[in-house]
Amino acid sequence: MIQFQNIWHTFCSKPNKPRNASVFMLTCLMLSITQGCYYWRPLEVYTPNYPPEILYSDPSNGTNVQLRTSQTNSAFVVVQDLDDSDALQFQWYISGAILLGPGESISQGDFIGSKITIVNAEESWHGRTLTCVVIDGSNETATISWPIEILEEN
Amino acid sequence: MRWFTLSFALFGCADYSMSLEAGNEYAPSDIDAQRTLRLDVIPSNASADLLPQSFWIEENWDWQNIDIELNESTTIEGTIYGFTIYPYADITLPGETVPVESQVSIEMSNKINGAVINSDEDGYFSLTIPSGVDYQMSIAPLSPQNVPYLVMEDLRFASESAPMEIDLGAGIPIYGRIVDFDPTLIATAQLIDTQTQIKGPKVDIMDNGYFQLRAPHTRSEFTIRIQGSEYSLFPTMDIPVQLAEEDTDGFRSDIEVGELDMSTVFGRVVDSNMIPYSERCTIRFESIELFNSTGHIAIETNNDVGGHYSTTLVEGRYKVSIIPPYSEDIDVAPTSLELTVDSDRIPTGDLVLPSPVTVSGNIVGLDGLPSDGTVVQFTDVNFEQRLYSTTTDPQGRFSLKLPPVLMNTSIIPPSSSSAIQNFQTDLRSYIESFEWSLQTGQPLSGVISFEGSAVPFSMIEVFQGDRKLATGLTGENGEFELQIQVEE
Repeated sequence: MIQFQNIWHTFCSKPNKPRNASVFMLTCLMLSITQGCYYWRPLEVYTPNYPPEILYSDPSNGTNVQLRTSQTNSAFVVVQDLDDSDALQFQWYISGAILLGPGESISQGDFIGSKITIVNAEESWHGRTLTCVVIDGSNETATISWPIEILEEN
Repeated sequence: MRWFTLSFALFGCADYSMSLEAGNEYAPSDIDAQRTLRLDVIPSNASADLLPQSFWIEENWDWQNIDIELNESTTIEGTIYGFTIYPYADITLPGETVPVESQVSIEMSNKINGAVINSDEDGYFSLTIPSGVDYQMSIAPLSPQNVPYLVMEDLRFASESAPMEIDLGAGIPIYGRIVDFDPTLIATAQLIDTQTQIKGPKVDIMDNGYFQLRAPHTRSEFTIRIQGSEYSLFPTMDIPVQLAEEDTDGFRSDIEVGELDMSTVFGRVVDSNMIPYSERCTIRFESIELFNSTGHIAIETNNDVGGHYSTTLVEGRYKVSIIPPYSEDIDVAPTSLELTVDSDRIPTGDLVLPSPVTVSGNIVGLDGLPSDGTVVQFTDVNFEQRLYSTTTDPQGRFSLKLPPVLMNTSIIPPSSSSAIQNFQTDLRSYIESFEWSLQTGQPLSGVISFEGSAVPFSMIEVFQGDRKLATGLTGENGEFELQIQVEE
């Protein structure tokens, strides 16, 4: 039975394969005649997962994030995930240094935002990256990183 | 403004000016006035070349039809010079005008409008800000250090500003001596502008205890800050200075630090099972009182993999905070205690990191039914302001592990039909379970635009005084709709 299930998936689980499906049906019919055994599993609807997508951010992708050790700093992302049921998780971190946490959640219709507030930036972060990872319910991810520039201060 | 002649010069036919038209942009007369809100708009890269800006919203406005037009961005560039003095090198050449590498800040008071940037070594800077009035521009020299800082107020920056040339001049000397200075300690002196808190360069205190700072001619109230280098045990001391009109040749202030009796403080960090904690904690000592000095000491150290730590402190009373690193699955929580340091060696014994507590609860919506998808956020108040977050399930339930500390708590509903609630939760006492319900608030809605076009996917934050009432995003058409709970 397992073999049949695998064959069914091989031939029929992907769309636009009517010819393969026909071949499968014919194979099934022949096997049922020759071996007297036939099992038709319930059809399973294949639902593709759409990974989350980081649409917008501040700072912009490809620019540096400037941090001041004496002040509070922040960054945010706007994310879309076409799967309605997906609960998105955010994780912000400084590469090679520390986890910052999930950030503050913001919602707007079908879009979700996450804002990180950095209270105690450290000089040693200069040259590292600030990264935000978005993880959906299927563990698919989207990532954005900004090189960190610590502003020298008096 | 005092008796001085302006020692800085602004050249070129610029579009920046000392503004006499500041009143044409609304600002409340009393920003602490109740029910006056500040709305911060932080554009994303969905809109090109727009920058963060604040707007004031008064009580008698229509809070459901707020149309906000963002200001265009304008780039300010220029070069900074100063007169550096060489009194010991060559009497025939007392000094010269040189480029000054500086931190340039153009900001509005009580608003997020503005930018900060460091110039290059030649003193050249370029930064982009929203055009507007009432700006304050400050120049804090980084190198050389023997030039004064500069503060300019009530500036107006329109589009297409001409390059600035800023001469910091030589300033007025403010000098003195640490009368009981220990030359084995490394310490600096710094001038801070009392009104704006702008900090001038840090100047090393010489072995004989002398220091010399340069004050701008344009200011009269300063704080001399004496402090040790990083991880130094020299107390930080703030000495207020007010220059009078007759102080044209400078101002002398001698300072006594007091007796700095050192003590070695040592111990071990363990978890609640008394197992040595091997992760790297931040162990922060902040003086509440020093026994023989008026200054203040704040110093940080870390434990080793065996949980052990050791540091040196000046005798006094301290608040000690032990803060473990952030972890998604927390196993220990931060803690703090008071410590009296009054002898050569102070063993603290085992500093126990408490276990986290599991906090759970239910949230119901306005209809009394379980609220699915409501975000619950906790931010610790007294340590690193770390944020912990979870979302309710279809039964309206939530559960997460948290440090047993005082928390700022936010309930963020899944739709704008309910208000974001902000309150404090004290997790230090035993809590079985929370029962919370979504509440209505006052609607606040409108559209953000720029030159007639919508500004989509901007972050919006609403403040009442220092209290943040709501965070939201504008939609695809620049629209926003929030419910806020305003404190009466």
